[in-house]
Amino acid sequence: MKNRRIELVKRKFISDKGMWLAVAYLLFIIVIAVGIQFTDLDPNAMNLQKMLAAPDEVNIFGTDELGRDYLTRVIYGARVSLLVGVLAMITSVTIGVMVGMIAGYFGGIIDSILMRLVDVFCAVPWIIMVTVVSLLFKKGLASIVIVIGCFGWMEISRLVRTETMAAKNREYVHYAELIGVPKWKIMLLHILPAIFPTIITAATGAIANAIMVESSMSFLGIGIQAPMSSWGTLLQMAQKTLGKAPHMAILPGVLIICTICAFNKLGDLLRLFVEPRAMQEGK
Amino acid sequence: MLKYLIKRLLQAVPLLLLITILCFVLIDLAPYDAMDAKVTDKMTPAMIEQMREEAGLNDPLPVQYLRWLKNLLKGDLGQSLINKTDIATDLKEKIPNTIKLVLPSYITAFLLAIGLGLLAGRYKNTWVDKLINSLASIGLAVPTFFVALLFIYYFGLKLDLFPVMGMNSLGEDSFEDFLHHLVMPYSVLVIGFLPDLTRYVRSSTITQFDEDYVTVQKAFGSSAGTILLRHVSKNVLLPMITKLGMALPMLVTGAVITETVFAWPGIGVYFTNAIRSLDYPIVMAVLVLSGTLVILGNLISDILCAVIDPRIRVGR
Repeated sequence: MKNRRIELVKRKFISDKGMWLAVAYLLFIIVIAVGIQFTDLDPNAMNLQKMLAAPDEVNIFGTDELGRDYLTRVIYGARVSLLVGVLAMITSVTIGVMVGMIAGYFGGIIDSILMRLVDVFCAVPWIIMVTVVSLLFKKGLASIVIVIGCFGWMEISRLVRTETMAAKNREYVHYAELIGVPKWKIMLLHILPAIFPTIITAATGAIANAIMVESSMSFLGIGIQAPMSSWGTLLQMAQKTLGKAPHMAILPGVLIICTICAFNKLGDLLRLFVEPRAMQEGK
Repeated sequence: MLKYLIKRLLQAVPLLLLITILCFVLIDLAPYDAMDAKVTDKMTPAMIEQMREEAGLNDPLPVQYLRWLKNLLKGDLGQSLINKTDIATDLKEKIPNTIKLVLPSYITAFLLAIGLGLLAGRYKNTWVDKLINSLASIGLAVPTFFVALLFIYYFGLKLDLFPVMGMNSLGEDSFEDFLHHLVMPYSVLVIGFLPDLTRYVRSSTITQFDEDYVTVQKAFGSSAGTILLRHVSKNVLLPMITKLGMALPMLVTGAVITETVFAWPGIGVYFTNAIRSLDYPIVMAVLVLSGTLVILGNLISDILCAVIDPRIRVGR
């Protein structure tokens, strides 16, 4: 069974050019984002003779309002955007998996209470919730990660709950219960591995989502604050100088779109492994 | 039917209460409170303390909550800290503006999505489907504010076709002027709503085409077009009604970003301004309002579904 699934994923990976592109793009952007700190390119080097300059040979993507090289700034922005995406994903996956597994495994009243909690969290639109909660924290990378992470876990917990309910009825779980293995150990050692593929799939989606939320927050001015910059803050700056320097809006926007697309595409590939029937439906 | 209705209504009440509690606690956790905005340098600590006492901020939290809830039920949402205006009156003015923008956009996107989704589902795996599906996938990844920026640059600044800010020109009150202002935020929102809805219709169309009744109709010799229009579309539209109910809260909070970019005088701009100036009563009012609408929307869509589909009523 497992082998067939891996075979399926492999075949899809080889046949689908878009998938190749997505994976290559993600690797490329990660390498660049990590690699930039080993070069002597400085995102804060100003050149007041050359403010808001259009792209030329020296500054391939032009300069910003303080004459800083825009490409360098965008790459440094990529670090922040990707980092927030990954860390927020880890936060929401952790919360989602814990809540979902406990609800699904114990069932009954615990399940009802936790699922009502999920309902309440879902009941306020994310943009309102995230904005309000961002008031509670001092502005900074960590608080943004927490805010985004705390409001992206509900879907994951629902998914994990369903999977857990299926997994807990497997024979090996029953057997473990029978011989008296503690409940937390059963959840950790027997159920978690069984639902792991689902978690990974949800995680790629969560990264894409977190990047989107972060850029929206930063664009509204309640996310990443100067002097740090992410793609969202760069676009916020670009809005102010749109008339004079339209080139500044293009690069961060295109990168956001490509990155989210690539993570979604990767999620499709992994979903194939979790539920091979999606292959026939999606393709 | 009545029994089902009452049951659903009763379920909604505790959820609503929970939301108000959550809002209240959240705001209480915030590092500043309503009084900090009123305090000036000239006040002595004793004066501040007296003001706090008068405003009831020194009461225990549950007492404060109950007082706030009582006012809320009377329709009194309190006053803005900054402008001293009545929030309920403000909302009455802002909400229609947001509805004027969101309602036409959502309806357009909804109808377009049904058309495109059915088309893509019917011609699954052909170039039509691939085109629609990949555009929708890309669309999901495009931030609304980026589309807004591109529109402002090309149609607003470069071609100078449409105004880039506000709902009316200064001193102008005509409907044409309003429409002129509406075009860009409206198009941006349609693009924002469309991808998700289209993918939803497409996948439920595909699922429906695998159902037995389609095979039966094929066996009877019905043409694919008849099957699509007379049988599949009905089954696809049923869950879409649920989507419609769930979209209710969007009438108020669906355009926060778009409104901000285009300076549209609706609830989104009102809310983001309140956030920036830490105007808590407004933030609370919007929080409660949007939470209530979500629950109301879910309730309405459940009821609509039960009305349309008898299986749901009998099943429970």
